[in-house]
Amino acid sequence: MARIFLYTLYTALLSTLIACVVGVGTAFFTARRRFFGRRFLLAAGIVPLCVPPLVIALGYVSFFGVNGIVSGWFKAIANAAGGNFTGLTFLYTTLGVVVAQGFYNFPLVTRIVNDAWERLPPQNENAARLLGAGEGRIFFTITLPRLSGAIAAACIPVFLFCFFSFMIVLLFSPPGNSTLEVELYHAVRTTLDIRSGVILALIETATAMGIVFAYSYVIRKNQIGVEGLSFTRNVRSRIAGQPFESGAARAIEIAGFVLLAVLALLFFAGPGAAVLISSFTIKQNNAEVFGFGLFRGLFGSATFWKAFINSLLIGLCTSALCCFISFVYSVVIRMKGKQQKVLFQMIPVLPMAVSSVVTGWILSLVFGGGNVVVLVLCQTLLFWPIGYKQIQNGMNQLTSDTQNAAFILSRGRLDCAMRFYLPSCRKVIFTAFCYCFAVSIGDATLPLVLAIPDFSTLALYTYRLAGAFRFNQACACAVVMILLAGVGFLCGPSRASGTTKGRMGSQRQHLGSLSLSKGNKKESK
Amino acid sequence: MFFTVQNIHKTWETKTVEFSLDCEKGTMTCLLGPSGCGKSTVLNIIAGLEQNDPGAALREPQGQLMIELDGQRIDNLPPAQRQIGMVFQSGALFNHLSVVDNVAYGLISKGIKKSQARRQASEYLTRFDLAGFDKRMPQTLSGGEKQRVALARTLITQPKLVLLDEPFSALDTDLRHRMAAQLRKWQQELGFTAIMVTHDEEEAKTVADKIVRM
Repeated sequence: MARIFLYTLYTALLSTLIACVVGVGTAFFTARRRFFGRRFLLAAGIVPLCVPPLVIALGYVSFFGVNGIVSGWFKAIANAAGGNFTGLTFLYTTLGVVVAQGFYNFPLVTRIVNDAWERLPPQNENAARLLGAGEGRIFFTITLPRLSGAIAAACIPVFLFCFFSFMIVLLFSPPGNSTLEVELYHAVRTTLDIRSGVILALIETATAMGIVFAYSYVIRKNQIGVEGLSFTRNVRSRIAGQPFESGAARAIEIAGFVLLAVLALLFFAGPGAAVLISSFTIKQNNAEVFGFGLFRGLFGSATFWKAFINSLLIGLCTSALCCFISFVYSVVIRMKGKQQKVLFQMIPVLPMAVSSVVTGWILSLVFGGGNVVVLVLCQTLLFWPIGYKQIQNGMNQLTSDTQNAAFILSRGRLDCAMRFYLPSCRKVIFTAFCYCFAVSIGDATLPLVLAIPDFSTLALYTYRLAGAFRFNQACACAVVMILLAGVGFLCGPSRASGTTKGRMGSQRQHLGSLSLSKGNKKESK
Repeated sequence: MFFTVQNIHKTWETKTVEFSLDCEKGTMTCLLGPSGCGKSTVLNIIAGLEQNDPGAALREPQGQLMIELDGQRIDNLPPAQRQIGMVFQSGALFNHLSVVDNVAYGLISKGIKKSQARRQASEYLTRFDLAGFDKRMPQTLSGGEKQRVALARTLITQPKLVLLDEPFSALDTDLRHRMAAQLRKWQQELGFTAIMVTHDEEEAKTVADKIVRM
């Protein structure tokens, strides 16, 4: 058990390290430089929240697998050189797990650190520059200490994601190595070793709880650090275009940019594109044909439509419940003036410390087995904080004067909630709904853990296709799943950001889903 | 002339700043003008933090930017090598460092050992009525104290030219005038050459040997 625990920590730490190094490096360019693809990189920050790990795993198999696209390139080169190449195998090792998890999560780090970096006033760095400090010393003594809170705030959730990682480890982990989450799943679903399951669940939850408390401390500390930061827009220069950079600094900057671009293309964009390409590729008579055949096959399958409708209904129910709970919780703690209290800030963060497997297992024990209602309940329990943060960020944009006016003019609290808070936050509620819906659609772990008889969702259907080595069909199903998950964002993300005008608002909307309250500066004063 | 800047040229959407200036050694020059007229941009270009537009240089070779300090061309040098100090409007103190570490920062950049730099910084703070402030963090200081720390941090490195970008604009009127008078006193005592930007005519008259309207 100690070995499993250490292996879980080891993979989570290494994955977080990759996400941190690549994410912070990329954030430097997105925050301080302008270049083609900057907006795309920042928009990719929602990928770890909304694209299920299963899709990422499929992408890695399609791109880096033994019969994947990259292996195909190497095979072609080897054949041309008269050699023999059997395919890349690193994916099915710890390296594969760590790389997939690290690169899957790095855009989240980029997004959060970028947000903080953009708000750092350039005067501090300029002051250091005029005091004779070189660019390296400025970065390590001025910039990095001021970003440390944001980096920690980004890395801790990434660590937790990796710590609870299930699908990627299940698919890629080498024999003999497993994580707490996967072992827990095997204990409660395969071997029915309840005693081990309880111990694993306790170890996992206690560790995660400690990390969540550390996270809340970091966020609260960071919240204080926000005071005095610049909220004015910094002018971004082109890459290596700063007047004060020496030739060597420019060369390092260009080299760093090229390296990060190659890594992001190879390990992030590549697998994503591979899912899309594979979904349109059919193998016929040892030849690959490009077309819509896989989608035609899926749409002609009754099982697929059953899974599609199940996903849609469960997604809608979960999202509606999440938004309802989030809105009620937000309004109640606001009306009671408790939004700055540690306890009330901690409650929405606690679900981060409980894994899907533990939640699913416990609720299925409580309700005597898994069913659709238990699935919706489990998802609501785990995903409502995502909705809560969107709604809370929207409410934080309301000035205290406006809220006081609403209290005075309303007939009562319910009236105030219905006639003031609800209309004021309708757009962020819509965004919250979209996030919860996307996460629910992409969740394969809970349906798998609950093992509901004769029941499937799109995510589970995709997993089963992948498990049967029908990777291209799985990719086609994953594309449908992503389109369904993203339909809300396509319909109205720009409209949804209307309540929280300005840079801070729109950025917090996307990022806030993982962070504790940064508080309303206007209100706290 | 101790300091000369010629052909600063900067264009925004609808505005253009064209600027040249000479300063004598040990004098305080004030750039006076309304907000948004480009005063701070002029200081940033002198410090090397912003680039000059080609402007007149495209029309005639003698229209190129030229900055000379103490007989040396500095316009092609990076900010750290220009021997120019700058006090920013916000103070730009490093909030994660204590007062003494803020003041010692520039000395350490020059290669002085940390302990020695701290000792020097601590002694230097007394000149600015900041004795006993060594371990205080910038967030705990008042506006006037912050600007005094910022000034001490700049002057301790003994720059040849000090640029002051509306250093007292965040202070209330009374304190602003007191600080301006004190700045003038320190400038005369220490004999540094300075260019200060302000939009307050009274403040300019208090501190300046020469006033340039923009």
